[in-house]
Amino acid sequence: MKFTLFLATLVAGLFLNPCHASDDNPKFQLPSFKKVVFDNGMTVLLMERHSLPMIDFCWMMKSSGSIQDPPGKEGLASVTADLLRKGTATRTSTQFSEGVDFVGGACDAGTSLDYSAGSAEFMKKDVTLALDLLSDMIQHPAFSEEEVSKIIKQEVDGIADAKTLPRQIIGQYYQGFLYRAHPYARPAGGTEISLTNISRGDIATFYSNHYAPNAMILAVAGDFTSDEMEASLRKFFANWTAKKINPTAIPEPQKLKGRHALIVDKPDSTQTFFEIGNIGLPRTNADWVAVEVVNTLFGGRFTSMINNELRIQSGLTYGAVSRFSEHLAAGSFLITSYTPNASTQRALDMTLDVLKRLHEKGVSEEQLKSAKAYIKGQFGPTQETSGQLANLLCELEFYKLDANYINTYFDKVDATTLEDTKRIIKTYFPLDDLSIVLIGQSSVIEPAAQKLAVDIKKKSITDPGY
Amino acid sequence: MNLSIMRWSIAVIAAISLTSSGHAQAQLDVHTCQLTNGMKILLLEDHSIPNVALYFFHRVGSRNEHTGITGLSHFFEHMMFNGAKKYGPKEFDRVMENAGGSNNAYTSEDVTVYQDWFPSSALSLIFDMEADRTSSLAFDPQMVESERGVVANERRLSVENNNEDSLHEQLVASAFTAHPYHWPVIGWMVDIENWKRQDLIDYFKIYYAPNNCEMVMVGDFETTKAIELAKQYLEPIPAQPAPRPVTTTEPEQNGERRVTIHRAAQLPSLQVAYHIPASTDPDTIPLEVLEYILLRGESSRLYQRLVDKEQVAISVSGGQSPHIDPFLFEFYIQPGAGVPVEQAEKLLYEELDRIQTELVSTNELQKAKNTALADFYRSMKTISGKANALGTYDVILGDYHRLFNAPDLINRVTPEQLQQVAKKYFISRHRTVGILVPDTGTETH
Repeated sequence: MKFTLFLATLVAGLFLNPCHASDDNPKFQLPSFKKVVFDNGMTVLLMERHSLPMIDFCWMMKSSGSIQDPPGKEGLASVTADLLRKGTATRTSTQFSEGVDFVGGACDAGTSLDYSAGSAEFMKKDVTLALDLLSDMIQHPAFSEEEVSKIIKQEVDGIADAKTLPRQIIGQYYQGFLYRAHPYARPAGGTEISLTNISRGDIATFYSNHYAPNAMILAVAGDFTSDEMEASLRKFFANWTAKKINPTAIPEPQKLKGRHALIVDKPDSTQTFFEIGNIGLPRTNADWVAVEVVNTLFGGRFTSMINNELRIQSGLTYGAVSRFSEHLAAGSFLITSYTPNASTQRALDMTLDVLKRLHEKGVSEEQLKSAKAYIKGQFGPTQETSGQLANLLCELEFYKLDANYINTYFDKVDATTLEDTKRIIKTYFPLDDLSIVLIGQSSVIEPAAQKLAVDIKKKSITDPGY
Repeated sequence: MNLSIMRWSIAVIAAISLTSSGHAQAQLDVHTCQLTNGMKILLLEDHSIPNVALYFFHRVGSRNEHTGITGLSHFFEHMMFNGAKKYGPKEFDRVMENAGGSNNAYTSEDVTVYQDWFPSSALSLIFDMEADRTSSLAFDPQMVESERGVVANERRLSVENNNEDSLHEQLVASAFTAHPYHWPVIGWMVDIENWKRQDLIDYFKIYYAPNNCEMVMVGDFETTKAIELAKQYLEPIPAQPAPRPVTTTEPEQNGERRVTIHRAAQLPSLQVAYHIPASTDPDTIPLEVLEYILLRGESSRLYQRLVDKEQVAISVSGGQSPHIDPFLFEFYIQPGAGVPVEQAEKLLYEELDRIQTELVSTNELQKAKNTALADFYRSMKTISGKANALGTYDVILGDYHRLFNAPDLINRVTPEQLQQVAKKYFISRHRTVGILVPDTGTETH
C-alpha cells in the first residue's frame, strides 16, 4: 500500500519554541534533541517531551523506496513494508497485532518513492514492549507464504476499490503520465498485474538487500529520558549487523515539452477530475521555501488564485489546489480540481488562464506579505505533537537538512522578495509545457482536451495499472 | 521557559496522571462562563504553541430541519463565509488568511461547528469577524444562488459520485422513517434546489442565536483577556426565543430492513446498522467497549475473522458516534473480489451472535480498557483536538466533564454487562442492511 509519511508537514518543516505570544512574530526553534549513530550505522534521534505520557517513534529505511522495485514487480517495496508486522521469527501476525493492540498502541509501515517508513505510538509505561515489537518487525520479519498471499490479494482488491473514487487515484495516473520512463512513474503500491508477479522469494530478497541498520533512521519523541532511551535502543538494535547497501542513483527527471493529455474513461462519472502540471524541484533545492511562498498564493490556501477563480468566484468546484511534491529527485508540480461534466471546458480554461496570469502579472507586495503571514501563522499546529516532531526529525535527517535549516525557516520566508517571486514563477511554474490528466466521461472530456493538447492518449479506468 | 507554561505543563502532568489502579484522573483547567445573552463559553489556556483553536458549536443540524428545507443547516456552513455587515462578500477568508489564520466548518445531524485556527496575535480580529457574521450575516440573493450551485456540486461529489456515501444515505434513510435523522445532512437535491431566501433568514434567526451557541477556545491566550473580548464582541448580540425542541422520536423498528442500490463498481459493498440509544445513555459505554473488541485494530474480532482468517473482506470498520438522539451502531464491510456479499454478511452475524452467547475474555476486555485510556490521551495531543473533544462532549453529551470520566466508566465495564448490551442491541429486528450491487452488465452473483 502506498504510504505518505506526513509529507505535507515538511512543507513548513519547522517547530516552535513554547513561548508566550508577547510579540507578533515569536522566534521559533526546534526543541533540543540528541543524535547518536550506533556502530552499525543506525542513526538515532531523541527528543524528550513530557506533556503527555506517550512515546512516538518514526523510522525510515533509506534506499527502500518504490524506485527500487524491479520492473514488472512494482509494489514490491510496499508489500515488504506491509508485511513487517505480519509475523516475525517469534510472533505470528495475530500475536504481533495482539501485542500492539493489548496496550492500546499503534504501529504501521508503508512505502513512498524514495524510502520505506513506519511509525508507532505507545504509552510511556509500555516502552519496553514497544521497542521489542518495533525491533522484532524491523529485524526479524518472517514473510510467511500465507501472509504474502493474503497481502497481495488485499492490495489487488484494494486497487479495484480505489478506482471507484477518482480523487483517490488520479495522482497515480498523473505521476505515471508525467514521469514516463523515469522510475518515479511507477506506482509505489503496484498495479493489479505487477502485484501478482511478486513471490515470497522476491520479498525476502528485497528485505535482505534493502533493510539494514546503516540504512535506518529512527526518531523518538515523547515522555522518556534520552540516556535511558539510548541505552534501551542499543539493547534492541545495536547487535543488528550492518550490510552493504548499494545506493541507487536517481536520474534527474526531465520536464515535459509541449502539452500532452491523458483521458481515463469512467463512463458513470458525473464529474471530471483533473491534474495539470509538470516536473517541480527536489526537496533540497535552495529555492524550496520561496517556491512554497509563491505556491501558497497560487494554490496553497483557500483564498489562493486558483481556488478563488474556480470555487469562490465561479462555484465550478468544491476545491482547487496546487502543490509541489517532496522527493529526493525533482518532485512534481500539479494543479488539481474537479468539476461537473457540463463545466469541464470552462474549468480547464479557467485553470490555464490563472496560470497564464501568474506568469504575466506575478504577485503583488501585498499578496507576498499575506503569504508570509499565512505560512507563519499556520505553522504551529504542524509541529505540535510528538508524532509530528519525530516525523520531522526523520525527514530532516533524510534530506540532510539540520536544525539550523528549521530555525531559520521563518527568516527564509520573510526574506523572499518580489524579485525572487518573479524568478520562481518563471523557473518552477509551467505554462506552455503541461501534463494533463483527466478522469471522467470520455465523451465529455475529449472535446475539451482537444482544445488543450494535440497529443491525447486514452484509456479506461478498468484497464489494469494507471 | 516562561513560568506560566511550566506551571501549566506540571498541572497537566499532575492532572493527567495514572493512579496506582491505572485510572486517568484528568481535570484540565477549563474555565466556564456564560454571557448575558445565553452563550456558554469554555476556555482552556495552552501555551505550547503560539496558536489558538476557536470553535463555535451551534446547536443546529439536520435533525432540526423538516421536509422542504433539508440540508439548510449545511447550507449555512457555506453562507457563513459569504459576507456579513462589516466583512463583506468574500472578505471573511481573505482577511483571516491575511492575518495568518485558516478556518473550516462541519455540519452534522446535531450541530454546526465553525473552526478557526490562528496565531495568537490575531485574537481580537477573529472575535470581531466571528461576531460580525454571527450577528449580521448577509443573505444577498446572488450569493445565495451561487452558493446553492456549490452545495449542489458538493452533493454530486459526495453522494452521487461516491458509492459508499450513496449507500450510506439509503441505509440511514431506511433505518429512520419518522425521526429527522431520516434525511441526509447535505439534504435532498430537490430541497437544495428549492430553498427560498426567506427560509434561510427565518432559520438563521432562531438557530444561530447566541443562546443556541457554545464557544470553545483552546490555546495561547489569557483567560481574562478572552472573557473581555467575548463580552465586547459577542455579548451585544441579542438572544432569541429558544428553538423548538425536536420531539419526533423514531418508533421501534420491528423487523429487518434491506436496501439495495446499483452503481458502477468493481466490488460490492455492505453496510449494516443497528439502533442504539442516544450518547447520554449509560449503555453507550459498554457499546464503546464492544466497538473496541469488534472493530479496533488487526486483533479485533471482525478483522481477524473477516479480513485475516476467512479473507472475505479487505476492510471492516464502523462503530458509534456522538448523537443527541438515538442513532446507529454501524458496520462497513468491503468484500474482496469474488466474494458474495451474503458470505460477508453471514460471518458478521456469526460474530455478533458469538459475542452474545459467549462472555468476552478477560484479555479482550482489558485490551479495550487499555486502548480507551490511550485514546483519551490521544484526544489531548493538540489544541484543536482538545477544543473538539470539549465542545462535542459539552454540547452533544451535555457535560464536558464526561470526557474525563469516560476512561473510568469504561474501566468498570464487566463481561456480563457486555453480553447484556450485545443481546439488547444486536438483534435482527433492529437491523438495517445496505448492499451495493456492482452495475457491470455481467452477472456477478
